[in-house]
Amino acid sequence: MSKQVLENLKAKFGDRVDYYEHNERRAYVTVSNEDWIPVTRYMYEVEKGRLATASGSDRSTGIELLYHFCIERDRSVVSIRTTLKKPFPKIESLTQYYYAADFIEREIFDFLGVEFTGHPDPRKILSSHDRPADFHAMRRDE
Amino acid sequence: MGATNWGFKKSLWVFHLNAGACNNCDIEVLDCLCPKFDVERFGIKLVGSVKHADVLLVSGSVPRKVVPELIEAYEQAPKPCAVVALGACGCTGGIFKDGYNFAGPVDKHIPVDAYVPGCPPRPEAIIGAIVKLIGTL
Amino acid sequence: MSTTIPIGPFHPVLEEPEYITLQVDGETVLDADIDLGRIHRGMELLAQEKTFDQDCFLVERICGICSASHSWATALAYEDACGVEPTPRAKYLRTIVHELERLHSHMLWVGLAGHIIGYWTVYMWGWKYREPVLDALEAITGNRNNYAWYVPGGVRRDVPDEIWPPVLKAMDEFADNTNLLIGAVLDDPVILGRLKGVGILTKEEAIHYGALGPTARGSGVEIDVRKDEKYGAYDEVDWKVITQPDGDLLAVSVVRLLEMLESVKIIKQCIKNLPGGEIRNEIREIPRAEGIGHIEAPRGESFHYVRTNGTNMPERHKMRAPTFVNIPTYRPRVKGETISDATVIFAIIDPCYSCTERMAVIDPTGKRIANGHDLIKLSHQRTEWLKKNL
Repeated sequence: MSKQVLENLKAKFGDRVDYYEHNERRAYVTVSNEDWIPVTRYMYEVEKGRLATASGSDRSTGIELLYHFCIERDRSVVSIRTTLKKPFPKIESLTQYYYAADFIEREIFDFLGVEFTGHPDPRKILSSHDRPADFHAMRRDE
Repeated sequence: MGATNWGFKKSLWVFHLNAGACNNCDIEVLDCLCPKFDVERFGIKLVGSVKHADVLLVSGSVPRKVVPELIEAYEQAPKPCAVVALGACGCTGGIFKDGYNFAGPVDKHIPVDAYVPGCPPRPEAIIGAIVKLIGTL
Repeated sequence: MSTTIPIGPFHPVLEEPEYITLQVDGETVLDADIDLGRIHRGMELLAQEKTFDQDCFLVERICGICSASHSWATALAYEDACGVEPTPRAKYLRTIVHELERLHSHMLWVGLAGHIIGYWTVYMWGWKYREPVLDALEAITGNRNNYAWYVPGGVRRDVPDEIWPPVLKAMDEFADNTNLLIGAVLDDPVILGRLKGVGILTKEEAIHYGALGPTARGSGVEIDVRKDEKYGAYDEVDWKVITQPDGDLLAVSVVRLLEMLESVKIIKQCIKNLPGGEIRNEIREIPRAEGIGHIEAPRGESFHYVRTNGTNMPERHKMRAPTFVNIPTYRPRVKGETISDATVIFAIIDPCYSCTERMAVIDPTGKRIANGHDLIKLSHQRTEWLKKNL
């Protein structure tokens, strides 16, 4: 059950985290951009969550970033969410603390144009080389 | 099949080229070599270099990054060289033809001599396509 | 002075086109880099224009070898979002087909690894023993690959009872053949010489890189989504997670070989205990919700996230295949090893580049001095050398 992890998050971060439990095995936690690295580092270093992947999408409120952490001992997935402002979304990279985020953040950069500060190798990963540098396939800018 | 009664004028050397395929067609091609279908008894061999190829088996829907490499591989193959477009992706692009990264299908960039539809095509269909080309080379 | 070796993009043994560059100093590899993207087809954008059922069929074509994995994970994600449980019979049927797929995928890998090392017999045997599994899959679902069978809520077609006795017989034969291969492979000093102590990934590195599947279990990390998540029939049958502590190429190979035997066990139990009843719970109402489905594919965890918005098409579908996360583990494994081992170290993660998206030696002036074909030859030469000198 993800309940224990959510209670620990609330105990440590108080009102800076806001969570929603979809069912007993899935929960979604919303944080601000400033708390992004403290919370995601906590999920990896203390709760021993494994970063499975990151979903990003271009929504009306901005670029939404969702990092999915699998908590194996609880058989649950806790996802941490934040929203970045367009047109130049920027956030600190988790790769410097947790290598698993390396390719994952490169992919988000490739498709959504999010700049991850401190990333050791911020190159596009899947797009064709003949595309312009500011081409980001999943952006919905007019 | 009666294949051993045909007088094969030439044993065909085949080079398999994956131009953005999901692997299904590719493993069916490798399956042709294996004991159940055993295409080597017809003298058909999978070669490691495009410079030795008589037949190019191209699978995949050709995403943008692959286009220059596909054309270069075709130009390096000694002529005459037959090209077989494999699978739904190779023939028309399949379900990927509306994708934003789609730059194919194969016959947009290189001339194709045979099309093998299917997703994936069965090994028997692939062998049949290669054998049909024998008379044309 | 270091030189750069590219392997690819069209390489005789690597099935997908990818471009790997190795930085070498003489014979020793210093670093590696991989350029993906040749199989990138824009699947996530295409999924937004498909209905739920069509989406499950679309994602099968992410990768032909693990088509059931992506399809099942997508179906689970939709079920999670809409709050629908599949029927008990569907859970067992899905487990059977997926474990059959694990068998054919691992045996395929055994063949390819044998080919890279230069053991053509292992390649031919492996692929020959794979065929009955594909026949079983065809009998159950209608196709050797790309089954179009997993749908949200259950499975699409039922399976008549007369299919099961030949499948069980094929499983017994497969287990015998696997034991034969295990004995042949692990007793051979040359294969041990190629795999033992080569390409080590420590447990700490495996966790720090987020490695998945046999790549992680070969380093002693006990993660397996079949145990770490409640799905399918895995909680109702008796099986165990296989791990090996050493972290070298031999450990990962042993994990895969022993997992095939576990899968045979799971399949036989599922067939024996198969419940009757309906095969599908239809999804009637679609809320605005998010769903996550993840399962243990042959290569590791396959993760799918969907967001629904009340219509029958997803607003967002994120797909992540296991090889994407396993590829970076290539770098710590290959540093310090020789070029002749580079291809086999590369193949140990069982790379499925089509799941992921998607090798030449160049001297510092950019001139190509060796290509991928030469690198495979180097691998075969090393095996020949070991045969003479052991």
